[in-house]
Amino acid sequence: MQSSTYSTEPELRSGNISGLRRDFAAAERRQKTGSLLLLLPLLLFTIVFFATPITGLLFRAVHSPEYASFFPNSTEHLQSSGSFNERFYETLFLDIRSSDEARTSGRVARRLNQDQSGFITMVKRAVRASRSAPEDITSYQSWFLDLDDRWGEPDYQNAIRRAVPKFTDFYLLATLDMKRGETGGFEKSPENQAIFVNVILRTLWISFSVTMICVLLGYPVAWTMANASKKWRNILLLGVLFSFWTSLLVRTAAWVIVLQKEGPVNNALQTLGLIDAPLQLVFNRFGVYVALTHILLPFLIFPLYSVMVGIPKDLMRAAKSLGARPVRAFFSIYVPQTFPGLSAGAILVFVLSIGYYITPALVGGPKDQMLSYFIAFYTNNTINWGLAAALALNLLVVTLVLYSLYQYIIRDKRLRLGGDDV
Amino acid sequence: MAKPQDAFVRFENVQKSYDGKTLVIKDLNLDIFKGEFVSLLGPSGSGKTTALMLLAGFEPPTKGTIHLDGRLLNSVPAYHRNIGLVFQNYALFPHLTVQENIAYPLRVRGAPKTEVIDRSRKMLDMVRLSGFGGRYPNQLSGGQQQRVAVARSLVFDPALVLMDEPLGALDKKLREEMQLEIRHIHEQIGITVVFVTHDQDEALTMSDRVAVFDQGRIQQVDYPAELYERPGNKFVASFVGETNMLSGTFEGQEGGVAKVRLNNGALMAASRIDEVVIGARVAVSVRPERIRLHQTEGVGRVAAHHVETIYSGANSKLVLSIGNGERVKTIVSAVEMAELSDQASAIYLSIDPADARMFSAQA
Repeated sequence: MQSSTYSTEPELRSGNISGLRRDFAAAERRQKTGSLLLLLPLLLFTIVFFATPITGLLFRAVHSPEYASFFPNSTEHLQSSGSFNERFYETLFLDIRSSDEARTSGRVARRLNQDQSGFITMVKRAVRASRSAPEDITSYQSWFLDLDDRWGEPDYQNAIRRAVPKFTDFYLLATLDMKRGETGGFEKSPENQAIFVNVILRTLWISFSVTMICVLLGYPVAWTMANASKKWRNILLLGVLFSFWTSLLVRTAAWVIVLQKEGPVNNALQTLGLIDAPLQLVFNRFGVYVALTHILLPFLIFPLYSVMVGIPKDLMRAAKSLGARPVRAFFSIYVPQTFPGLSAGAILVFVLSIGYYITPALVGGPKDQMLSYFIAFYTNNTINWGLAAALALNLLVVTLVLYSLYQYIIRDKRLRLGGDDV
Repeated sequence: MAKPQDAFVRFENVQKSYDGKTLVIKDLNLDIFKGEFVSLLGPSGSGKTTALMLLAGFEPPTKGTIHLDGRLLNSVPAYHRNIGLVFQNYALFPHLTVQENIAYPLRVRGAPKTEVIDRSRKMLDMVRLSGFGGRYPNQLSGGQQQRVAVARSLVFDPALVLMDEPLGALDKKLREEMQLEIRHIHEQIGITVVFVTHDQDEALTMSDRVAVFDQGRIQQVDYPAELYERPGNKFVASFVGETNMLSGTFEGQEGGVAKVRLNNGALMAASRIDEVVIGARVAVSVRPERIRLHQTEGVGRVAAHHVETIYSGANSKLVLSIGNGERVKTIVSAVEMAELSDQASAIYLSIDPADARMFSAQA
């Protein structure tokens, strides 16, 4: 026993440090490989079915290859000389002709139309005219201007210039109610197109309000659940879960029924004589708040509850024995312990509601639609995927910014609590 | 001891039931005097912690009264009782630093800032944690957390400090250190302490008086030495310290000494504690260290066989058989052990009647 101790010790001390390091690294590697293998299926799934399509979609926010790929001749001209001269109209004519054969003119027209409306008709008309155009056109410029004056107007020419590059900030600027002016500088979008900042602010405000309402309603519920007897705890849990398990559409539709003009709420209020005429409770902001709060409340309650269950009962007793009245003990000792659960739940509710689509779409009015509604609108109705992607990217960035801001505030608050008073 | 009317804390006919069916505390009468260190000792479920919670004000008594310094406590809420409380798991506030934890009772009382800083610093010094004020509880060892909890329970000059098994979570060595430390703090500031424990060694070494609880009743309240040397009933004898319980039959009294026929047929003299009739089954308690060993036969000596020796350093425990399955433990010093091992297996033991206490077997 003793001799073996003597024989191994010098080895460890002097020569074989690198050997030990190697063995350690190998052992660590084996362990890591093992855990990586367990993660692999999910990792692959996430990459193939989530990360790739999302990246691809978000890429469309800045990627606009339509003009450059389908109108190569005029693209080349504009990239080299940049002026809307006779040569430009000649190359444009060539492009229109070839795109007619390739049936790609529509996509270019749509792209141009997103920037400046009118292009769909203009391109369509030009395509049709090009089929019967004479072989010897003396001036392509006048050919186009004869078709439509707008081919010569600066607004339309600038739109073409903006559509040429394969990468564009056009969509992203549009989501901020901005665009590139004639000289390429930023300027505000015209009044009738400037809607997105408003929508983003509205989305943030609705999400914030819903989060606050959820906190006010959910905190007492979570507390009751965490402090109830086992029987009551299960009943309450089931109550929360039951609404959680019910289909989203059913719950949303139920709110429409409950809150409508002839619904039970209005009937009850009228029977009680509190109101003379039915109130508008749904298809407006109130309806959005009610339905969203109801749907998202469990996401606040569960994290909060799980944290509350773990708070030792002795802490409140200790605070009281040290002379704190119940209210003071609650706010100075209990509430701070619940911050991790409260913030987890609040972030969950906020992030979920910021991207909520179906409920506001069903119970909100036109002025209560949130960002997701517009993303869906541009994806499905106008096939403006660039703008839809830009809005989605915007939503993602806003969420991430708010999240990091929140993290910063929380850390700051902890520090403040740590250094308070003494 | 002071006169009863001087009692600082007085439990009078207190009963407590949590469910309306069973009584956790059956009939508690206890006086605690100012400056005393009293331990409530008992097995778990004996009602000792409940008694403490009643005193702290977290539970109302179902019946009876509790007075503190002449004031009826029954309807005074916990936060107005001015009683310090140290919990078994310390119950330090994890989001506050050590200093803030200690300052908490002062702050909720609205003490001026300078006083808060001053007194919490003094408290930190007293529990020898001067450099630790800025740390959070989870950055401290168990013993340090315990000291913070003690400091926090004392900083507001409470009338009384209650400790609910405060050392239960510490390892043996640390526990012994903390026992001394708490004892010193008690002596230093002369505060009244009520200390709940299930560890009889702890109760005996720390307390001025010990109240032994079992099944919702106080079995005996006495000085540690009295409790150990003169237990009042069978439960106390077996719960406090190690003892030999020999069973037998009471055969009558002779000159103040009770005669007990042991199961092995030997007749033994003992002090009569419980009143029993002749022929009743009795239990005789003898502390291991009170048993005398001899190598020769003699009057009043019982023959025994060596069964087993348990070595434990300073001394050894000897297990002897006295026939009929009855076994007796004794403690022998290293010197005695050496003498014994030279001899053959024949050992005789004798017991002074004063050291043998006879209880009714039912109790």
